[in-house]
Amino acid sequence: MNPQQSEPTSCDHCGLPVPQGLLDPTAEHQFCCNGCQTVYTILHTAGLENYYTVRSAVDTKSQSATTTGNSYEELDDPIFTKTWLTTNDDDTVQIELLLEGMHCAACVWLIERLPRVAPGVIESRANIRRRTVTVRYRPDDIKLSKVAQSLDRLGYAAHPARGKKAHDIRIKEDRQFLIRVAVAGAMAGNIMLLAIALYGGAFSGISESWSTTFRWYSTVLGLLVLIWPGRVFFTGAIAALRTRTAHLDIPIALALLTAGFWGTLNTIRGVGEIYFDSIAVLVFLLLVGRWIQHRQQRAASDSVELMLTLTPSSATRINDDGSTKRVPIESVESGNSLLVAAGESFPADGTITDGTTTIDNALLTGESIPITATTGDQALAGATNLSSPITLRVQAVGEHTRIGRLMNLVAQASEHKAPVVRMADAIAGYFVIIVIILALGTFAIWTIIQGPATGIEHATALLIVTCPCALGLATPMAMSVALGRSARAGMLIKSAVVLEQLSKPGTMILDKTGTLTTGSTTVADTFGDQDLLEAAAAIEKSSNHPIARAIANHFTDLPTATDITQTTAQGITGTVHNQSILVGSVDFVLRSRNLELPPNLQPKVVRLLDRALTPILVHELPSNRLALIGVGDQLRQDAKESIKALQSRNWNLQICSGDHQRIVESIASQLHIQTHQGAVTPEAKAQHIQSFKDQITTNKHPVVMVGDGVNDAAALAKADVGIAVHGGAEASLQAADVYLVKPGVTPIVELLDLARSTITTIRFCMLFSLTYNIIVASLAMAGFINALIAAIVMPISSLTVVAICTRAGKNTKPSTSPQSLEPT
Amino acid sequence: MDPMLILIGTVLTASLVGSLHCAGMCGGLMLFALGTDTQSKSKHAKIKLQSAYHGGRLLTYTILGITAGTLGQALNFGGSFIGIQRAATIFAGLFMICFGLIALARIKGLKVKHARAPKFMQRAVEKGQRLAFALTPFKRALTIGLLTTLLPCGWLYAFAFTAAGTGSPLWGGLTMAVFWLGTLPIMASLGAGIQLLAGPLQSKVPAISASAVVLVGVFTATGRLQAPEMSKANLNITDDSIPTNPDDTCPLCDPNQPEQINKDSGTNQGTDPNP
Repeated sequence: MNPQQSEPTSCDHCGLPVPQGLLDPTAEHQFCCNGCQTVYTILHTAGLENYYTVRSAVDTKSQSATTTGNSYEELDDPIFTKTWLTTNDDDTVQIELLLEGMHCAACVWLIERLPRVAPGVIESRANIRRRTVTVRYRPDDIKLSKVAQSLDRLGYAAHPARGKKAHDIRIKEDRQFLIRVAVAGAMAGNIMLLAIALYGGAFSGISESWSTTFRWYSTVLGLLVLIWPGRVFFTGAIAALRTRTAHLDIPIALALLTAGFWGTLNTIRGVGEIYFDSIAVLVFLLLVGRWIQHRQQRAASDSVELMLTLTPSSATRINDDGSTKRVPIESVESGNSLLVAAGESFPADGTITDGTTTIDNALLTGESIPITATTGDQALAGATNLSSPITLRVQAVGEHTRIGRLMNLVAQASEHKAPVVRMADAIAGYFVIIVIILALGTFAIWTIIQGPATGIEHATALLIVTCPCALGLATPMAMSVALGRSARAGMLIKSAVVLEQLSKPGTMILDKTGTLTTGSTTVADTFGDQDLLEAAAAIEKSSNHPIARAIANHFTDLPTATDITQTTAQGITGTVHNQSILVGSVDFVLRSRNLELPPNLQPKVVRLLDRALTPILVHELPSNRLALIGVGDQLRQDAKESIKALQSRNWNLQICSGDHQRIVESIASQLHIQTHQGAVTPEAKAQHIQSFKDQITTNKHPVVMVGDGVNDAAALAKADVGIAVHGGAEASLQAADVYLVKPGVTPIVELLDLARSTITTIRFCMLFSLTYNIIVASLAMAGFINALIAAIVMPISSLTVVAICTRAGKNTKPSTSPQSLEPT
Repeated sequence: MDPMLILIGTVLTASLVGSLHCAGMCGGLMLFALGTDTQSKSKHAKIKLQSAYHGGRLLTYTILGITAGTLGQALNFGGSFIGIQRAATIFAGLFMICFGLIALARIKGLKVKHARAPKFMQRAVEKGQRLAFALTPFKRALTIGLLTTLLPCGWLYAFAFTAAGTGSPLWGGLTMAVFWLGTLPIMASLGAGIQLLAGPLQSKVPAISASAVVLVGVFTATGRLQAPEMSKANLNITDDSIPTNPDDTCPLCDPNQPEQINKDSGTNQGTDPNP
């Protein structure tokens, strides 16, 4: 290269800039120093010039060994890639991998920076709760084995995310974690014993030889703590530095390294303080905190856990010899035969091989009417066997069932980060940097005042005692806990953003049928003799009209009806106990039998109409007895109270329904809702929501739509938050953000309370963390906190924050079992 | 302030700062010292090779430091005869300041040629590397590590001068051991992958390294990096500790007042000649 050009010339060996004063225009190669020139010559003389090719590859073999030593070659097997990889339209492929060692939000930052260290990887999305990462990459640019190696080098060994192996890996990971905690605890205990002897000796006197011996023992044990259980922090910190991420492990690793180095040096010198008691206790308590957090996250909303709330945790397996045995669901496999008793939920997807029964599929399909199923028919996990025991041959179990795949969808909620989580992540990043700067400043100032020993001590105490856990940990944890609680309570939330949006009041647009009302025609009121009413029901039983079905279903012990004749859409007549009974609309009956409505019935008819009920008149000849039945789609029992509760929470409520305007008006009047619209088509509902959103200038006023998951799909998708209350879970969650399994309006109120509670918890944790850190950082910088106190205080604060977060949505009542749900 | 802390802190910091170049220069040799055997999946094997290579470097650096410290001690001793105290310290410090300033000058464009290393050193290194490649992996890694000292690395020898400036074999060895420690993080984690570092940092490395050398040179020249036993305080040499003859008479000149030399302090004290 021409040295006269302004572009800096790189050394042909090491790549660093060659100083201008050393550039030789006549030379073939440019070097920055004698050493580089010598090594360059050596390599070429020895025929090792391919080093320069290797060096330029990112995945150079000169990098340090992967943390597990795995090459992951098996992932490149064609059968494996065919099974596990998904091909996208843009010629990229995608895979979900289970990662060991992912424990906090900072790990998510690291992993999501995979494209920086693995060219060819387009996107890397981590899911902290499921410990998985979804990687999208170009197969022409990078192999899957290289992707896995890159993840491994960051500190996260990778495995396929699905199947029994994933479960085994989780168990193995848990065991290794516990071993680390146990070792750290054992070491901490022994080091503390030695520390007590040394502290005691400092006051009452100790011989030099014993003092030296104890100091050396502490050093050896302390270094073991750092090398073995404490290594996770160094691995995390190194990976963070490589990806230039402000990871939580950086200040911790810095503190451990400083204290460890200084203590070792003082042991060698024989003077000064050693800090291995603080180090060991810190490592132990931090690992305990992470273990608790790990378990909490696992329990919060693991998709398997979620699924188990809706399906049985055990099943009755039929052995080959015909005997039966109750087994845990995890041991059920495809091909097994299971006995499903009446009243029990199906534990797996399968085919009925013996028996006939009726099945309630309300959870999945939204069908409120049970279906009859017999040999050869399909049954789904989560459905309820209503009437008779049957034998089921298993086809899919666990997360491979329809309900399992649905729960997978729900469990992916945290991949869509709520703004508050993104804010917490950003703050945590700055926090780490600020703490390191303050530590350097503390070291510098105290070194000047009292010497480097004091400077290191106070800086180490500062690094140890400050805890960004509330920022980086608490927020996603609170979200996880809330999502898990909500799922158990029958509120399936697709995106964590929903919780933040619902935490502040806005406008809620409610559908009528199925939301505020029961969604089906039923008998609301009756007037008249019971035997006459039963006779009317006996006649109505022959008709398929919804009103006729409602009347027939309402009464029991029906007599026999004969000579039935139906007049379409008006009425029906028949004979019961030799009496001619006419049942129909008031006008039809009065006209047909040439009657006038008696005075005692007139106010009753008016009252029924005011209640948006349809009055049905019954007339008997020759007795001339009359009876009145009020039929309609009734308001839900909890509607009035729940609407009142929503209004008291400052929500602006509207009704938007496809039903008749007068009926909508009547419902709105009963519920004291001012704004209402009837006879609105599903398309018009969606347009109404869009135009309403356009009028709102602030995004702090959410527009929520509550309606049928299938019929109101367009409107649900348009709203800021769509809440589906009817239509089956699978279809609903395609368009809506939330699906409420339990019927009624009360779950909506519970959902809002959950959201507000969660956000309040998060804000409280942040405030607590901020206050705590300001106070302890000030004390540490002023020299009032030593490393041992810091090592005790910090994990306690971390555990406190975790404990507070586990209360997110605490008052949400769990749904006990699918059988407990009333049919819609 | 504790002299050991000053020495360790200064050398370690400077070494850490300049270790980016160490990775770039020695990366190729380290790559082949650690082997490119992708068949070996054993994590322990790789750790063993890393330990051999870096252990070899530590040993050779320490020996260099001990040698330099011994030479420095000899220089100090000789200098004291001609009235120059801490000759090695001053010389080393001045050398490093010049070294650093020349490096900075080159960056600015001043043409100052390299001082070429003796040919025999290069031949020795080449021969040694050739022999090493024929050895088993562990021995190869160890040998290549041991040969590192023979590479004509200005950065390395700058710290060797610092070691000489301590005027003590023990402290010289410690200086180079600390220097080794500073090179370890970068070399152990990145190896030859210096290109993986942030772009802006790469261009600043030469200037930062040169400045670090100047700083270490200043510390050395001002006596802050010398061995404690060489300091006045440790030798209890103060103005007050030198007793004055009340008669202001040279004790050597007065045969009636024989002096007893205090063997500990090396000073003359007037004592009773009749114990």
